[in-house]
Amino acid sequence: MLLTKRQTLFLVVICLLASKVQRLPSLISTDLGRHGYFVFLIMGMIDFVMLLLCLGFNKLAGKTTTYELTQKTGGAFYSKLIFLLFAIYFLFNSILPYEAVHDLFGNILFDHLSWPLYSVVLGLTIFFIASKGLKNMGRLAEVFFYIIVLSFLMLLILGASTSNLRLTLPVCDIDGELLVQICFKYNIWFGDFIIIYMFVGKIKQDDGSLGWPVAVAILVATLVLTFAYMVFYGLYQEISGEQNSLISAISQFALLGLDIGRVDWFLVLFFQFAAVISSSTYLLLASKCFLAVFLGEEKASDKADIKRKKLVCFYVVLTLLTALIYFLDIFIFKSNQEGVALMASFTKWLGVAVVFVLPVILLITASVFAKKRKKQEKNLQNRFKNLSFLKNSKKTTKASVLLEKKLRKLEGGEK
Amino acid sequence: MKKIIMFFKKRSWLLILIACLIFIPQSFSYQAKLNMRVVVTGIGIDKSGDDSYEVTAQVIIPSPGSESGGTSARLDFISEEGSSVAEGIQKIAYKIGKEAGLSHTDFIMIGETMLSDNIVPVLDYFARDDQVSPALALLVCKGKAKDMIEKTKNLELSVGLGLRKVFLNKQSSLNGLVTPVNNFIADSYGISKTTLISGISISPEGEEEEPKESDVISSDPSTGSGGNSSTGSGGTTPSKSTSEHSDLPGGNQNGSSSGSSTSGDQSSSGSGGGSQGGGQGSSGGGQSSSGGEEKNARIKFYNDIYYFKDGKHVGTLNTEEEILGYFFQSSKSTNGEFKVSGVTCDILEDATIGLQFSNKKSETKVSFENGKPVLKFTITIGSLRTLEILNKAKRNVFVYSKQNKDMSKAINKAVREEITEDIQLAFEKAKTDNVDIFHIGELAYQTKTKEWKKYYDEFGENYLKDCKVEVEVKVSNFN
Repeated sequence: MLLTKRQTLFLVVICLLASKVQRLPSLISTDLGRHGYFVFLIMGMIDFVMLLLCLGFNKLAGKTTTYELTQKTGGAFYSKLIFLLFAIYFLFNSILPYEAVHDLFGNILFDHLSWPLYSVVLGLTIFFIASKGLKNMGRLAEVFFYIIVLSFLMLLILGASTSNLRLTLPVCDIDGELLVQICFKYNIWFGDFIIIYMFVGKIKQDDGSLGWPVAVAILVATLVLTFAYMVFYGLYQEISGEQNSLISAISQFALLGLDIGRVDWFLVLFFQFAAVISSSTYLLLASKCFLAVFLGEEKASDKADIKRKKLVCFYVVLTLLTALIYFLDIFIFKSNQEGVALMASFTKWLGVAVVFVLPVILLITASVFAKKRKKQEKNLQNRFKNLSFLKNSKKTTKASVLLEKKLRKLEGGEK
Repeated sequence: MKKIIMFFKKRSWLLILIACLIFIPQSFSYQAKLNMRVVVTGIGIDKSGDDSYEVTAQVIIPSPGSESGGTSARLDFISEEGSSVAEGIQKIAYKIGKEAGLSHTDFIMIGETMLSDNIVPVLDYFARDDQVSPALALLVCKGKAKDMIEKTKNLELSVGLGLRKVFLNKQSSLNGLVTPVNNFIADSYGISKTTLISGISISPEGEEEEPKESDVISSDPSTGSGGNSSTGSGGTTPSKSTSEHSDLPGGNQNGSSSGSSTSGDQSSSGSGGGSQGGGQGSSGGGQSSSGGEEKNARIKFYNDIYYFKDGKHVGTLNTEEEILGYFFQSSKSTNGEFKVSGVTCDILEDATIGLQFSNKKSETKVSFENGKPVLKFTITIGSLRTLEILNKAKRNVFVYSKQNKDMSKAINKAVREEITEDIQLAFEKAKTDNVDIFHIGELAYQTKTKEWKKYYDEFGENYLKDCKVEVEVKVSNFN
């Protein structure tokens, strides 16, 4: 087992926060203005509903990983297809927080920064973090979670103290059609719960009840993010589109009376840990998914040479993906505004497929798997019963011993 | 792969060396970049021709060996003309041979020559530049911004550099307004299209600057001011408080209290400190040791409030009553002093009472009566204290009795009447220019959308005609 439930929860929340409070509010405000918070609310609620499907999947899967489950149910091609979709989705999601860090350092903090050079540092950082594996990622999330969340909340409080929330009124004159279009356009920024599929079967003491803490966390985060947008718009109104990053912009008016400058920048920088962790997490998961597509998932039962081969391939894939992210950042996202618009237009259908369609398909797959397993269990039990007379006669066969072992294994899996 | 990892693990110094070789050469040029940057702390903008602007930058030049917070730095002023603000700033940077760093810019001073046109396009540069803080404070001065900004060198250094902070303190104590540039631009696109900017006037202590007729430009009549521009020549009458009420708390601080609040310690009690200190109010703004120069300039206490519609200047609130009327309804002004006159009761006869209040809260609500918007202010004064009483009646020791209910009642009543009257004065003044300074349009649209739409369909841009303002004043604790 690699992750604890707490680590899973922390990773999900960090990934959820990381990219949504950077450039996204500015993009949404350009189209929707004061009604932009509906995007966060609606997409957050959709994520919550889909999360419930994901948690249902987790419960039905038990100790089986997603790859194993899909492979056993739908075959190798089916599992590889799903993991290919995951891989591409995670890769794009890795770019978003990477761009957020680029935006902050390249455009806001420094006016003359050689970003192609400093991007190497960022690339190496996310490569290094991702190379350490899921266990270390979980520990990293545990270490930084509180400082990230506290920084975010403090910035939000500072912003709320000077914001005029009335400017988000009225609600009734909203353009419903435009709202749906914008939700659809920027859906790649949401759906962070999808990473839970990669943790299924790898969580310690998970009796399928990862459940309510994650659900509550996503619900609370949705409401907080909705409020954050309202604070942002209440400060900047029609000029919200000019602000590159919500997280660095909302506290601008709060500490003007201080003689010591903008100390809130510390909080902004602490929060950026979330962007680095999020980018690394998605990069790691993308690499794992690509590896699963070509070589299958890592198993404890793999022989040593296969394990080494998979490890080498993992590092190769990780290096290639990191390089890809680096070059996408340098060339496609040279102009952040256009790069983001391009990405949004390119990935909207992928987002729909992965966030809205895949959880339903996977839940059905998990139900089929669970039924199959139950049936298998029953068959084994019946076969064991038939052989039980041998046990009574103190004459055990190899077959009965094997059967008994299998039965015990199945029973242990269900628990 | 393992061998490579083991190699670097054993020779971690190699990684450090590689990092140093990459980053240290980069940092060499950063030192040079810091030296090649000049910090612009304020900007003044004047119109110098049909399509050209004169931009004046207030820059801070640290003296060798000066420390942070020390007074040995000095202010310098560089002016250049350009067809736009951006060009002007570029030319300034070219002139001094350094890059103009705008991230520490505190304020923008707009000269009177700019007020004849829409200033929103002029300020566009500051809304877009990522380096510039959106909280940049806007100020309007009579005459040329270049001349006024140069007077900041006669203020104490921390005041001259930090006008925004000074005005933030003034805003909380009823004698200044901070309008961030982003808010100015955003509000000009609202329903009322109204924004307000504080004036600023710096003059040597004891000297009040009279507006010169030739420098003053009247507003554009097409904005609906009805020709009743308060910036017409001679129209800007000096605030009453400056000449008539020099003995009273509110009027005793022409410019001095702002100087005294500069240390930042006195903040909202800047005016309180001035009132109690009387002539000592100038103590905080006393001589600075910078270069041995005497810093004897002061910022005027009650500064005019310029109101704009659609980015164009329309009129000014320039009497003490009008200015106080605006601040009484503002939720950002929470404490200060004012006076009430003509108070009469059993022991008072036509008395003038100086009062200090704190914890003022202001709530605003819009309702519709007979289809017409009514803006209701509920002003709650947390604590009200009598500072002094100038009584025309015979001397009576009971004037010092706080338990005298009649006197308390009379003063309370006078306070309510004064506040209501001042707010109405400010509203009516702007109403004659068809300027919605209290943003009734926005409030009505936000909270009573249906009724507002119906009303607006009928009256359009002249919606202010039938708008009313009601004021309710509550005093929680009167000493």
